[in-house]
Amino acid sequence: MFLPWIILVPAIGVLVIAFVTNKNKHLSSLVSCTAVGISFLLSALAVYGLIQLPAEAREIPTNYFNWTHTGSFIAPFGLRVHPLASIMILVVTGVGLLIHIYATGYMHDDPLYSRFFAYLNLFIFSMLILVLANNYVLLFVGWELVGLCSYLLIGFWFEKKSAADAGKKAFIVNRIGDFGFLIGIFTVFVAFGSVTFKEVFVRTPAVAPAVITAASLWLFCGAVGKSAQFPLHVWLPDAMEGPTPVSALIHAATMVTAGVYMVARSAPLFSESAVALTVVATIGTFTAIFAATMGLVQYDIKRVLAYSTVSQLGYMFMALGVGAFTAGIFHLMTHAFFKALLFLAAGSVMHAMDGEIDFRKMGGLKKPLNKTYWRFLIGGLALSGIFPFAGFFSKDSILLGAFTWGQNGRIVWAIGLITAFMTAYYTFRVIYRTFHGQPQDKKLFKHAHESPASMILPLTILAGLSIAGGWIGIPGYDKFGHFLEPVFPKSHHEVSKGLELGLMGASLLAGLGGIYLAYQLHLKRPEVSEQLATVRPLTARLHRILLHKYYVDEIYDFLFVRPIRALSERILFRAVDVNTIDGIVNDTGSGLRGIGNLFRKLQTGDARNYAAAILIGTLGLIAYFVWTVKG
Amino acid sequence: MIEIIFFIVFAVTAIGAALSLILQKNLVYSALSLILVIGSMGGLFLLLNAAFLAILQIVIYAGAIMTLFLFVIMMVDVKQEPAFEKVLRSRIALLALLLIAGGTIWGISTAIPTFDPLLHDFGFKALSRELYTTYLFPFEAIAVLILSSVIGALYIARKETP
Amino acid sequence: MIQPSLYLILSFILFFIGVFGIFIRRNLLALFMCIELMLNSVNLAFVTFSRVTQNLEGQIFVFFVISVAAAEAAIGLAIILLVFRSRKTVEIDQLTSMKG
Repeated sequence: MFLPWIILVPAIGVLVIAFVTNKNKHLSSLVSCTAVGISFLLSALAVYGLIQLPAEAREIPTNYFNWTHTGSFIAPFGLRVHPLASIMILVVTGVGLLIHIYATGYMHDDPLYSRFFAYLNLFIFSMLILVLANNYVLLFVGWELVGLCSYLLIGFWFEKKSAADAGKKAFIVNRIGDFGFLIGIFTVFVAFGSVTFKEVFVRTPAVAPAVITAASLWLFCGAVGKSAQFPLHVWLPDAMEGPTPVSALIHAATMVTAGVYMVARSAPLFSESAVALTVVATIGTFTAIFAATMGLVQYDIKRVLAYSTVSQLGYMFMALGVGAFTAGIFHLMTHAFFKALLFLAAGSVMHAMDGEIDFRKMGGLKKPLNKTYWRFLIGGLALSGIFPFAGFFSKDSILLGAFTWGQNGRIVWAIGLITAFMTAYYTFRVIYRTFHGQPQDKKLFKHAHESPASMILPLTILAGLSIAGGWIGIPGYDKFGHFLEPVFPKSHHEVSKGLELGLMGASLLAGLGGIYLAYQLHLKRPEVSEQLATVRPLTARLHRILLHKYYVDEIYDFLFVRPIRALSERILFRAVDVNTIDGIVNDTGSGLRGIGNLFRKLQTGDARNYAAAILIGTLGLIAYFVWTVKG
Repeated sequence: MIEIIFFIVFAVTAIGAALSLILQKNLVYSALSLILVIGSMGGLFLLLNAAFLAILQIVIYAGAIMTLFLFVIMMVDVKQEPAFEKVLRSRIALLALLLIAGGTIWGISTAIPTFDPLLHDFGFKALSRELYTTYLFPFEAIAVLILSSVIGALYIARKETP
Repeated sequence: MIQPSLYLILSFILFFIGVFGIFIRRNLLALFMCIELMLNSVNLAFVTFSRVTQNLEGQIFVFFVISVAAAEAAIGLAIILLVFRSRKTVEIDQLTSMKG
C-alpha cells in the first residue's frame, strides 16, 4: 500500500531542500509544494479507497515493524487510516498545500526562504505521523515533532528577541502539558498492557473506572498544552511573532487541533469516564469565553485571531466533553478553513501595509485591497457563525450537543451562545476598523496595494471552502456525521426538529447581534468605543485588565518563573555548583598541596638530617626484631 | 693469657683512634687515625683466627683505600675545619645512641658464653675453597663490580677538557 | 678468656662512634671516613660470629664487604672531587641545593 508515502514524501522534501536546493529559492519552494501536493493526492486516494469499504469495516491498518520492544512493552510503528484520520490528513495536506502556495508569495523577500519551506515540510511530515499513528507512543513522537516545528517556525526570525522568546515559551508550555501526556501514556500502558489504540479500546470495559478517569485526565493535560487551553493558553498569542503562514498553518488549522484529535481518537476511553468528560467540557467552555473576552480589546489583527483560535478550540473541547464528538471534529474542519483564510488574509493586509498589524493605523482599505477584503469578510462571516457559511453549521451542532447534555447542558449552551456573540463582535470590530471608515495613517494608506496571485489564489480556494465546507454537515443530510459514526461511541440524543430550528435561530441571532454591536461601536460612532475604553472608569479598568490578558502572564512569572530562576541561580548555581562541587575539587587540591608542603619540610637538603632519619628508622626496626625474638 | 693482653691493646687502640677520628680538626690526622683503626681491626681479626682477612684488611683497606682517601684530601685542599657545632641534634643523638647501645649490648652479652675450641680448618686453603666453589658467582660478580667502579671513578673524576 | 660478647661490645662501640661522628663533622671527607669506620665495626662483628658458629660464611661475607667498600670509596671520592670542583666547598652545610 502507498500509505507510508503520504508521510515519507514530505520527509524526502525536507532532505532535498536541506541538502540539494538550499541555495535556490524557487526550486526549494517548488520541491516543498510538490511534496505536499503529492501527499494530498495520496491522501485523497486513500480516503477514496476507504469510502469504498463498507461502513463498519472502514479501517486500513498497516503495521510495519516494532519500533520498541522491551519486555512486555511494544511500541509498533504502525499507521491506521480510518474515518477520523482520513479527515485529518485531508485537512492537513489540503490546507497545508494552500498555505505553501501562499507562502511562496508572502516569504518572497526573506533571506532564509529555503529553510522556511524545509521547516514547513517537516511540519507536515510530523503532523501526518501524529494523525496516522496507531498507538500512543508513535502519536507522541509526532506530537513532539510538531512541537519542535512550532518552536522552529515561531522563532524563525530568531534574531528578533521577542520571536525567539515566543518560540521558547511555546515549547516550554507545551512541555508542561507533555509531561502530563507522558504520565497518561504510562498509565495507559500499566492499566491496559498495551499502547496500541486497538488493543486499548478493546480492553477498556475490563479496567476500573477510576483508572480510566486518571489516564484520561493525564492524557488531557497534553491536549491542554498543545491546544492552548486554560491554563496553558499563554503561548499561543505570543506565537504570532512567527510569519503569518506559520500562524495560519500551525496555530489555526493543524497543530493546535492535535489536542482535539487526540481526545477524539481516545473517545472510547474518555466516554467511559463521566468525570473526564466533564473536565474536558468545563475547561473547553471556560477557555472559550475566557479567550473571547481577551479578543475584544486587542489592537493587533493577528492577536485577535489568536485569541479567537483559543476560543474556538475551547468550543471543540466543549463539543468533545458533552459527547458530541462528531460536532467537535466538524468544527475542527470548518475552523481550519476559515481561520486559515482569516490569517492568510490578515497576512495579505500586512503585506500591503508594509508589515503593520495594528489596525488602529488602518481604515478604508476596502477599496485598494478589494479582493483581500471580500475574502476576509467571508472568513469573518464563517467565524461568526452566519448562515449559510461553514461556521454556522459546525458551531450550531456543538451548541445543540451542549444543550442536550445532562444537567448542566443549558449553562454550557448559554456560555457558548454568549461567546458566539463576542466572537462576531470582535471579528467585525477588526473588519470595520481595517477596511471601513477613514484611513488613520495616510502614508501607509498610499502604499497599500493588492497582493500577488500566489497569495490571492489560496485565499479564494479557502473562501470557497468556508462557504461550502459546512454543507456536508447539514442536519438531515449529515454525510459527515455518518462517515465518522463508526469511530465514536454513540452518544447523541434525538431532538425534535423544532428544538433544532430554535437553537439555530438563537445562534444566528447571537452572531448578527455581535455584528450589529461592532457596527455601532466601530463604524457609526467610533468615539463611543474610545470613551468606553479610556474614559469611563469602570469600563476603562475592565478594558485594562482584558488588555493585559488578566495578568495571567504576570502571575505565572511571579509564581513559577521567578522562583525557579532564583532556585537555579542562588541555590543550585551558587551553593551547590560553585561552593560545594567546585569547593570539594579545589579543597582537595589545596589540601593535597598543604600536605605536600608539610612533607616538604622533611627535605632540608642537609644530608645529615637524612642520615639521622635513617638511623632512627633502623634502630626502630632492630628494637622491633629484638623484642619479638626475645618474646 | 697473652691473648687478653693483645686484645686489650688492640681494643683500646681502636677506640682511641676512633675517637681521634671524629674529634680531630685536621683532616689528615683523621685519615691517619682511620688507618690506625684499620690496623687494630686487622689485629683483632688475627685473634679470631681470620688470618686471611687480617692481611686483606691491611693490604686493601689500609693500603689502597686509605691511600686513595689521602690523595683526595690533598686534592681538595681543605682548610682547617672550624670548631664543630654543638647542636642539640648531636646531644639527643648521643643520648639515644648510648641508650640503645647499652640495651642491645646487654641483650646480646647474655646470649653467648664463650668461644668453643676451633674444630674446622679456618685457614687460607679452606677459605679459598669456599670462595671458589660455593661462592663462585658472587666472587666473579665482585670482580665485575670493581671493574665497573674503576671505570666509573675514572670517568666521573676526569679533567674537563676546555 | 675473651668472651664473644666483648668483641661485640667493641664492635658496637666503634659503630656508634662512627654514627656520632656523622653528626659531628661537617666536612664531606670526614663524613666518609666515619662511614668507613662503621663498615669496619660491622666487619668485626661478622668475623666474631663466624668464629662462634665455626662457619666460614662470615669471613666470606667480610671479604665481600671489603671489596664493595673499596668500590664505593672509589666512586664516592670521585663524586666528592666533582662536588668540590663545582661548588668549591665540601662543607655539608653549604651543599643544600636539594632543599625543599
